[in-house]
Amino acid sequence: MDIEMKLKILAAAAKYDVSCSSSGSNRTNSHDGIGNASTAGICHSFTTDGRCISLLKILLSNICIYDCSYCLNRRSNDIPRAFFTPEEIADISISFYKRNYIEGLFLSSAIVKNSNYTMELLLQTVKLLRNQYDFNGYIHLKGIPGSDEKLIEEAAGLVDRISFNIELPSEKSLKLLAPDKDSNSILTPMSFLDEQSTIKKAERKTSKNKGFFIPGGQSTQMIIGASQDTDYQIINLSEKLYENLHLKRVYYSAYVPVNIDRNLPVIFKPPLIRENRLYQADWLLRFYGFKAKELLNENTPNFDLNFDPKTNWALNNLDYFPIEINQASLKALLRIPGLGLRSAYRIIEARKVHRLEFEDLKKIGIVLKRAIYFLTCNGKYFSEIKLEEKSIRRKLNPGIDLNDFDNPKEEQLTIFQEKCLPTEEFLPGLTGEL
Amino acid sequence: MKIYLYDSTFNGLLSAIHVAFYSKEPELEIIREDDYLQTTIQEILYIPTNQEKSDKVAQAIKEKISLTAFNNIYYAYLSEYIDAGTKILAYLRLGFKKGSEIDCYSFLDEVKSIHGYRSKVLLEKHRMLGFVRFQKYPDYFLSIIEPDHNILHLIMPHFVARLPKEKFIILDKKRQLAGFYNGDHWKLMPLTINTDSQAEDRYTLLWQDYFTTIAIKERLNTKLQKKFMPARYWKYLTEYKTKS
Repeated sequence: MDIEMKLKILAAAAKYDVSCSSSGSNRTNSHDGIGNASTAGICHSFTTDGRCISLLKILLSNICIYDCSYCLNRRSNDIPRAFFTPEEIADISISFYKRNYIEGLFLSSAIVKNSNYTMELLLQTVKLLRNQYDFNGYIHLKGIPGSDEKLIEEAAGLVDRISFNIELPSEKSLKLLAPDKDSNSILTPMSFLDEQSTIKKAERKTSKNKGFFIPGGQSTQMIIGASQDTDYQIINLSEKLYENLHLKRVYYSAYVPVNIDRNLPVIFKPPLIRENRLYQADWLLRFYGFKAKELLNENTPNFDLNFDPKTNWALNNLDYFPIEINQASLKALLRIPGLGLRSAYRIIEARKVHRLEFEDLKKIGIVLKRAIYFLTCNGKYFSEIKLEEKSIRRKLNPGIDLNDFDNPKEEQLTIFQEKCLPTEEFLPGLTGEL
Repeated sequence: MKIYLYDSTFNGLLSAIHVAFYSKEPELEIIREDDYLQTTIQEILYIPTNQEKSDKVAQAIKEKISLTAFNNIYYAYLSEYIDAGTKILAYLRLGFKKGSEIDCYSFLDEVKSIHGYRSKVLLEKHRMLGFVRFQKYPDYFLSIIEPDHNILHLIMPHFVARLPKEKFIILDKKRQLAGFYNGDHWKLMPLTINTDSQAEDRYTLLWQDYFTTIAIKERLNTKLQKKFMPARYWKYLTEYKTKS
């Protein structure tokens, strides 16, 4: 099989892994090596689905011993299979890197033969790139569940980020859809890497060993909509992953119906709005000081897709509002729907020299569409409607029920098609930052 | 309205600002001489570049306002917007009154414009780190770009750090300016190339295939794609070159 064909097969097989970030690493180049990492990450292109291409994202092989229901590469699917040699991967990576197509490599694999065999091949590829080619660009390596800790530790000393994909947020769903996997085989190596990172960090402070150990940290991915798991279960798990295992990112991937399986729900399109709401909630957990239990609970376990999670929270906690722009702390400002981190900082900067008038808010670039219902400026409330749940809901309602739109029943499909509503209208630009 | 013309260099701009501060002229525009379209109504004055005056202005900005303010006007200058010089003057006039807190005044037009120009330049600089595409020639790599703003010298060090052993040229076709790296050090030089045709090899084709393959058709969203990668940059992107 020629390289062209292999690349087509093994890139197509890798595309449902959403992570493409090249951020978080500060690896520098050696004297005459190739490449370095840029802490903020760099996007090199954007595909027609609006996602960023930062890394060359491929599988080493799609020949899998597992048979996970949701996965295109499962054993029982009759699809073309291919296998890259480490040399082939290194050659493409280096050639692409020199032409500035990519920031580096995101290498994953199906489970070939067994976990250790696969992990050894991945490690061999990484060693080739780092040691033979002196490549210092970004490498994101997928960890293979069930492989030896020694192999994982060695890989972590060479790459910028490692991710083990959780895929399904509950043991029950894993049993149903991925019977060959169990949550321990995924969480144990994550926890191992977290401990090792702490140890290595301490060592770096005391000794002269300045070697890198996954400077970009760990990430993971969960598939959204392939199982019955609720948003509450999902964000609770994310919160734990951030707090206990110090993950850098949790990715959410709307399930694209690639297989027909009696254990899978029948869906007509990937639930992109739900995915987007989960990303918004994830941002609230990481940067806005929210707790998962503030956003959802057992009685309301799923987001109302018509509103972003912060607006949902605000509508259920109206006694917290209105917030006075000229006095509120950063933490309080960040509770205002529609007001992001950048806006909050701008307000705080401007307040140092000036008491802000309502008109000033627009001038410093604050988007008031949602925020206006939740704030006062110099004690004055500027919205024409009352601070009252029903009225605000009516104002901010998107016009059609996005809960139905995102997960249409068969009889609704034609209605939505007639209305010609492109999903992109409801999807703000989070996708690019993935 | 009086117009000061300068020679398009940053030192030229600072020299014009020096003259402006001593002239007491209330309404004044500062424009690059290349941008100036002659009309009969305006009174123009050509300001020669003067290193001493320029240094004085730079020093004063850094000491009496802030280093950030100095960087802000430098980036605003690189935007090459026709009114950038005039806006920089307004920002500095306010800056010398307000001192180091100037950048808190983002609700005032004088400050907002400069912040806006700075952001555009820095955004394009960041984007170009990703959108530069090198074509392989036997002895060197070549990239052609046409950025909105004058950012070539800002991105050169990034590529030098990454590809220390390669020889490469990045050509800003719009400004007929090229960054040359000979494997040891880099410099800017004027360069004109008439053709847009570029070398092609198997990796060009592999990359084009990869670009098409990696998109998820069920998630098609070209509006989002164009938001992050505006169509004006596509001309030199290898993935959008038609296959020969």
